[in-house]
Amino acid sequence: MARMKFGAFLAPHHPIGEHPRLQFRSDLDLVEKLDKLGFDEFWCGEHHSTGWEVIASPEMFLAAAGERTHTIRLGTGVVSLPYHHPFIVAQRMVQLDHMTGGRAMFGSGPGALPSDAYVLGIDPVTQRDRQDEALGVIQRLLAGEGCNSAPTWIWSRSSTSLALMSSGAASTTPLAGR
Amino acid sequence: MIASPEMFLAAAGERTHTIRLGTGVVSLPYHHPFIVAQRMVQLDHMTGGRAMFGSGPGALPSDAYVLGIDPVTQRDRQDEALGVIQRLLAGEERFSYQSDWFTLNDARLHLLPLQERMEYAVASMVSPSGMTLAGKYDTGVLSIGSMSSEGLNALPTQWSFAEEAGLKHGNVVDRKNWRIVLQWHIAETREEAIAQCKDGLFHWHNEYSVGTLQRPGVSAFKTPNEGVEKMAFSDGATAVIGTPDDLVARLRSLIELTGGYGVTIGFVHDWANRENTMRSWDLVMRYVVPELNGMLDAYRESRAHVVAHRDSFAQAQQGILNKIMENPRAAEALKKTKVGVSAALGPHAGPDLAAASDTANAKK
Repeated sequence: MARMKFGAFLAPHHPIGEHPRLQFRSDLDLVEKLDKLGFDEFWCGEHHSTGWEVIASPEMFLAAAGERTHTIRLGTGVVSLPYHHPFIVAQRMVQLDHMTGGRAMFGSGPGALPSDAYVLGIDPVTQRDRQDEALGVIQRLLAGEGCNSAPTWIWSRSSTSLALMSSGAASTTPLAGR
Repeated sequence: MIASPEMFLAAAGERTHTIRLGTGVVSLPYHHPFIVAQRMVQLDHMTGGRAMFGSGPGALPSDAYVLGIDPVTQRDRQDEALGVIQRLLAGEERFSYQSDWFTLNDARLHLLPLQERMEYAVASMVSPSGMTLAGKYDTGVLSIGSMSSEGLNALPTQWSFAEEAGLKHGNVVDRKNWRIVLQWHIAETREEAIAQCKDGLFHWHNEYSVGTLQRPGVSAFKTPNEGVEKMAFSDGATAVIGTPDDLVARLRSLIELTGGYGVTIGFVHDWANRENTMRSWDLVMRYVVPELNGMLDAYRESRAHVVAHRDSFAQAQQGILNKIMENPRAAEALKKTKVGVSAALGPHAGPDLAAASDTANAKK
């Protein structure tokens, strides 16, 4: 059997009271240390409320961690898919992967804190389906699936607005072959 | 190829110490404003308060298309989002906001920026919309339109849009927060600068500006030399290709044209190879910045002062030497090291050791 690998997961859960800037510094110090110690993976989360879970953008945190580390793999743990346009999520992961020399891992979820979804105006009942839907699209994008149709923006003659039709890379066609 | 400026800047923050780091720009219609605000807060803390928040409506139609955003809505959505983000970053009490493209319920950030007031900038091309937003929300401006002839010529009237909108909303816009983006490639001589960048400039212009973006009003260059001529040496030239002095002259004329602005921003390009490009940035900081900001004026004045009063300084030195020669042992020692004494006393005029001896002897 292959050897067990080891990682760390930083939600984070930091007690309120410390200087927020130093919390970020200390968390980056931690990743640096984990890398030196030889841990295989590091994950951090995305949260937008509670005062304890202070990382809003895991990709941004991991991009900074990438500059301080050499071998540890860096994972989003997790990106809450219903909060973002899937195309933007996919592109951020690609950027993180290149910036960290291919050490990025893409973790996703439906969004954990009801208080986050509420503030963003997202019905909690939809979150699981939306993660499912977005993940399917992101997977197709990251697989490099091609755009097989010409752009279908058509100038309407009667108004200044555009008629939008689903097409190409950002289409939200239901998942196939899950 | 930078999809997320915040992510890039977070990494840059780990490698830098003092340079301030701005998003240039976050395209607001592409994101939920609450998420944008939180990313900026995180970036500010991660960089020790060096974050600047630049926003825009989204520049590439191909980006908006892929995201399913109607281009006609983009300017209004930037406006709407910016208003909300500003309230969030100001730490306003919980508030709700319903828009046709996003919802905020009882929203308040659980962490505010490290800086008491994070700097804002909005992108401004040729239309007045960016400048109008700057006046409305009391932000700085990132003038990107200055890279085209029309945009450059429009700059003086551009600022008045910001001032007018500011007046309407009770804000006084400050020119020190007006940033103008310029293109340059600088080398020791104009000939070297041209030789270093003309092929890359040609490729960039023909393949990207014209061949990909189809920027309105620009056509392909026939030769690299024509490109250099049109970009940097014709009427309405927007780029500076030449020496530090050439850039100083251009910036002085731009200050005059605009009536004053606060920050010159160099557009990063790959016209020349990496070595010469780095050399260009080095020359700008080494020679252009101190010259334009008058940091060398006092040096020059001091030198001119010394030259103008050479005679009296020489007399003073003679006086010092005379004093030394009054001590016989010092006089004896000095005779043996005459050259050293001249050097030590300074180059204005060699003090006359013999004359000093005579004076000292006469006193005795």
